[in-house]
Amino acid sequence: MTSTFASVARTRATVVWFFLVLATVISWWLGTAGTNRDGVSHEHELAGVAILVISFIKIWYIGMYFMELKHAPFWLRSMFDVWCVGVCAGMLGVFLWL
Amino acid sequence: MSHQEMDSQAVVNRRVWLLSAWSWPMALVGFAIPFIVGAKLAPPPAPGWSAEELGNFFASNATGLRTGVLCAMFASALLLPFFAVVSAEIKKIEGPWGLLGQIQFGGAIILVTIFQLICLFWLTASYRPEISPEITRMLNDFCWFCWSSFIPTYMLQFFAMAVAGFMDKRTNPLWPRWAAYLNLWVAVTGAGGVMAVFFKAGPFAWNGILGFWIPVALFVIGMSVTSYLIIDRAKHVDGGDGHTTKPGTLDLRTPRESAVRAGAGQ
Amino acid sequence: MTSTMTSTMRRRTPKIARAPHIPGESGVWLFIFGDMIVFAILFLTYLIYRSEDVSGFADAQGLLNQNFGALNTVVLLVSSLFVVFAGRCIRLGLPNAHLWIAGAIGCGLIFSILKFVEYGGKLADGISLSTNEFFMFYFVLTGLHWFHLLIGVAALAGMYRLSLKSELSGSQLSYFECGASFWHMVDLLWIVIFPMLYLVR
Repeated sequence: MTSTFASVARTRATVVWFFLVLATVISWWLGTAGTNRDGVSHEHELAGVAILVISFIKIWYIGMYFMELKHAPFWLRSMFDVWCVGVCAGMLGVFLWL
Repeated sequence: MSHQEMDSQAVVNRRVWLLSAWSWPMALVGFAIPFIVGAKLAPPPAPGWSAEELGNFFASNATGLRTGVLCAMFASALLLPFFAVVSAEIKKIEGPWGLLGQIQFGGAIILVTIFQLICLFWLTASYRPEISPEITRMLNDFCWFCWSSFIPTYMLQFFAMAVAGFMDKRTNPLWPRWAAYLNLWVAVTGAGGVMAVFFKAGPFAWNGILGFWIPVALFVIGMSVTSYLIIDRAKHVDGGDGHTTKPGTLDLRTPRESAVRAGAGQ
Repeated sequence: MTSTMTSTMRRRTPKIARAPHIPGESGVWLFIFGDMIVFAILFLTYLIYRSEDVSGFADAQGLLNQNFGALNTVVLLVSSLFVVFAGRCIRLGLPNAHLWIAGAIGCGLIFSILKFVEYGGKLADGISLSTNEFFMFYFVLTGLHWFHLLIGVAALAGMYRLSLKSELSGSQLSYFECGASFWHMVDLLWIVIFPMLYLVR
């Protein structure tokens, strides 16, 4: 049983998954660490930017390795890349400048 | 029927078919211009307007609104032949025992009725400018709830189209896979309007991006795609089904009927 | 080409020779991207409304339990990994693909239970979607997401039935991949929703 599990799990997606969970923990720490300190808006802003960027990096990896877009035709992959970059940029723009 | 009678019948049928498929672009233009330019009802008046503001809106634009809405009413009736030809195409996909065509057309009748009704309500609201503005506002509210939240049969209608598209196993399907997904998408985005009753402002209100703009945009796109596909198909000599018939005629038989005919040595 | 390959044939295909492959079928990606675009519009709308009342939103955010959100994120990540594993089992001809799918469905149920507990807590405190703008977005975004999760679970149920078969035809494999992609999208959307609603102040 363990050897079949090993064959199933031995894929890049598993490695990516560990990083995704790690990134989640980091984001959670960044987001909660500042809760007790009010009024330090610049730190909040920095944490917010970091959290958003980390989220979209996570999403990109999910797309590439879980949705298997790494092996998809160029046009499909590009659409996904454009969505990631565009939405991230849009959200950062509104967050920082509005 | 003799062969000549059948052929001339087929020619008439083809013209009705084409005209019905063109009903959508005609309905779209015939509705949009009077509605937007004449009645000025699109973009929708905000739900947050006070009764006085809305009363003034109706009173100040009375002639434009009445004419615009009347034209829009006639234009929306053109949806009926369009949805009829959609159901006829669905019938070709599902054969004589299918129900999707009827479900689609049933939903279509309700949709057209609602468009006619809200036009009449707007006319009523505009009829006597001296009435209390609260009454005018309530009539206007009703119209916009019909527009945004009259969703259940709308979804059934477009689900029926989507399912028919997925069911279409012919070599030359009417709706390619992406178009079937598009119809699914029209049904789903329509549901965004259901939340309108909970909001007087914001993205889910009847003038909001999810309550109005996205559903309307998807409706227009979905209908235009279907209309184009039907028109394109009807232009072919063989009706796009791969059966050769005499030039200038349209073979409206289902694949099964054609096979039976072929077997009988026609 | 690859769509007509059975899972046995796919096992013998060397990795280097794999031509670009559309997971599922191209039509479903119209659906998935459409969904992603609508959610993107919602995200931007939320941030725009937030920018008009930063302190108000921050105060309301303080009422959220960030641990629930983080836990839900991990639950969905686990479920996505399970779906990847199930896909690999089918492709490599290994057994127990259905168990991995069942695990993913289980994760979906856990997510839903956590969500209902969270909602219940808010409603018990008298907070609903008409309380203020932040909570309007909170309930609508998480509610809409959960609705997508429901659809995803239904797709997983279909994939479960497929995974019980010993061999999948080309179109069945395609359906499996469609469902998997949709589920990953559900995961992906939460990866933005959680930080945006719970963490970014």
